[in-house]
Amino acid sequence: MTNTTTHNLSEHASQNAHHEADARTLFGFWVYIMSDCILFASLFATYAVLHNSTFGGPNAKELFNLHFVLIETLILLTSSFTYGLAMLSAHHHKKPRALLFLAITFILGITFVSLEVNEFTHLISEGNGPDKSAFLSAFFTLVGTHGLHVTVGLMWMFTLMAQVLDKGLTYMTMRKLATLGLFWHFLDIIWIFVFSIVYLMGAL
Amino acid sequence: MENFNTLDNEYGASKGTLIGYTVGFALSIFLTIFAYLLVTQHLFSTPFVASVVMMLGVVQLIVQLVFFLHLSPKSRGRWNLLAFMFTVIIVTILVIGTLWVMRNLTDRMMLPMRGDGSISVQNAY
Repeated sequence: MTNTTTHNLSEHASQNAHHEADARTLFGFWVYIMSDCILFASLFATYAVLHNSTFGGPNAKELFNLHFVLIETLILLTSSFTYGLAMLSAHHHKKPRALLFLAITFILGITFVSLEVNEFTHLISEGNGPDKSAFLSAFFTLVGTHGLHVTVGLMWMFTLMAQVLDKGLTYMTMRKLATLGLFWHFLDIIWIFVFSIVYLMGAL
Repeated sequence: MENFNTLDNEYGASKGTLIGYTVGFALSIFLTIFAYLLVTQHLFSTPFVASVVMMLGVVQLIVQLVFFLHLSPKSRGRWNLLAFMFTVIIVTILVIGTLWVMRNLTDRMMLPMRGDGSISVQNAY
């Protein structure tokens, strides 16, 4: 009787210690994300200042295909949703389903990055690279930085899928899944502003 | 067997429900397509559409923060919310301050802006 109580207490204490560590990690990562917000804010401010400085080159309205960008946006929004579903499956200890949703998220992310690279190469091949005007420098820096973040997120997701496959849904992998989730949803939010400010406002 | 059920209640950052994710997803798709149609259909004047698009962007931000990032004033999430509010202040100062200063700079240069693409103040930044 006494032994069971002690056992339960120590198990409880160990769980609490896990929760404390998880909470600290997630809060620390949240602070990183907030500082990343400030990085993007300065890139947005730069873009807002320079978006009319086309130096005789094409402006946003002439360059961007809104339909194409809408599809990119819907893909990224869907990937955020499927990541959420992966988290839910992980919380319910459903490892195969969590891995399936992670794989779907990964494929959607790859598709998004491929579309963006496609857009960039198309622009550059037509002579509208970042060296064409201040507007295009600001555009490539802002959208490129977001694309770079997504690419890093994809690499992280790939290694995490391997870890979940290998180690299962342990405290460690669950914590990493939650952290990557913050990152992935954050990139989705940044893209909403890229879509609204760069593409939609640019087309007006 | 490790128990994750309590994890859901512990962190503002990691909990979520199927209904929450689905509602958030549906709302963000709706807001995105609505903003897209507003811009492409040319039904309203440009300044009006511009302000509505920005408003939709902010609504979308709130939807994503609530349904995907689970930001709430509850328990531990409170510190996340405080850090976020601080960031919002910094971002506002940064963006509005930049636009304000650069606009003033352009105005004070008092040089004619040429629309033919030749070098002018606008292009000189």
